Amino acid sequence: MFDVERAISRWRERQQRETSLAPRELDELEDHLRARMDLELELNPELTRTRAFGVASRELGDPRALSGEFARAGRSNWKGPLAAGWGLFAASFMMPAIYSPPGSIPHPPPFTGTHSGWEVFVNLLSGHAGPWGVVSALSGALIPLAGLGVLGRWKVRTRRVIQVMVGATGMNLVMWMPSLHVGYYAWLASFALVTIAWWLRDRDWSSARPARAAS
Amino acid sequence: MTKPVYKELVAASSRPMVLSILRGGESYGYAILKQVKLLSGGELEWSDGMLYPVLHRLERDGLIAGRWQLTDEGRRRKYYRLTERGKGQLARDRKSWMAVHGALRTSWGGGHV
Repeated sequence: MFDVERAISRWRERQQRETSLAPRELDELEDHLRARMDLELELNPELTRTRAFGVASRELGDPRALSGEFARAGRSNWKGPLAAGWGLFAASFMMPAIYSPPGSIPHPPPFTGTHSGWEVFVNLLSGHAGPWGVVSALSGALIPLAGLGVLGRWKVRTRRVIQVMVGATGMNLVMWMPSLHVGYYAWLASFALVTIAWWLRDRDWSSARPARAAS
Repeated sequence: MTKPVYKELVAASSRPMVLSILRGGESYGYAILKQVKLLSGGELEWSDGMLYPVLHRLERDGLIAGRWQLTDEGRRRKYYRLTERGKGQLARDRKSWMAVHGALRTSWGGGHV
């Protein structure tokens, strides 16, 4: 026997898999699908529920085309912070990042003077500042990764992303605080911007809660 | 059989149509679609999926505002209402469409067709 709820659940899963429709957009389309099904059954009592569902889903149109239309109509307000985050991340490698005074042995890189982001990055990766230095350098990978996550709509909880980003920012600040320059702060600011982009995208993406019951 | 109104005209009239319907009160996607069919006597053929991107575009532009509610059946449904900005846009759209309508009517009334 035809199970409407199961059919709709499968329809949603397919839309989520094949399109970039957000759950709240799917909520709206699902509501439409159900209303259209009811109408088809009302107009033609001899119609089976399977057929009514088929007509209703077909009348909604090609899911990919629909998804493209929704994307064009959407706000996409996360694109600005994401572009700014990536730009700042790239620029930070060219800016002076760390000042290592003579004799400051624990400070990477193991040479004195002011060093740009990419010099620090290469030196940290080479292991001069120990394993934590390598971890610190590799934490930079979070920026392109998070950016790809925003663009690809990875289903990771925003709270988790914020925790990781705040953790990475805190770790990097604590490790190198005494001798930081503008490039380093720019690098850390890119973490904040990409996290904001993620949050904005997630807010757009996540299901809206009904305000209150209809009277 | 040819379509009653060709798609470019349907698309161009979608904004004033939705704004006009919402001027009568808050409504949701499926009800708006039914209203379009009723008002046009079936002459305007809107596909079911076409309406929602239009609604979202109008919402993005601040011409309408949406809010979620639970229906009596416990389903989530998004209701839209006309905003002040939307009322202004509707007045401008109406003026434009009336100008087009007036010009065509005069032209055809004058035996140019």
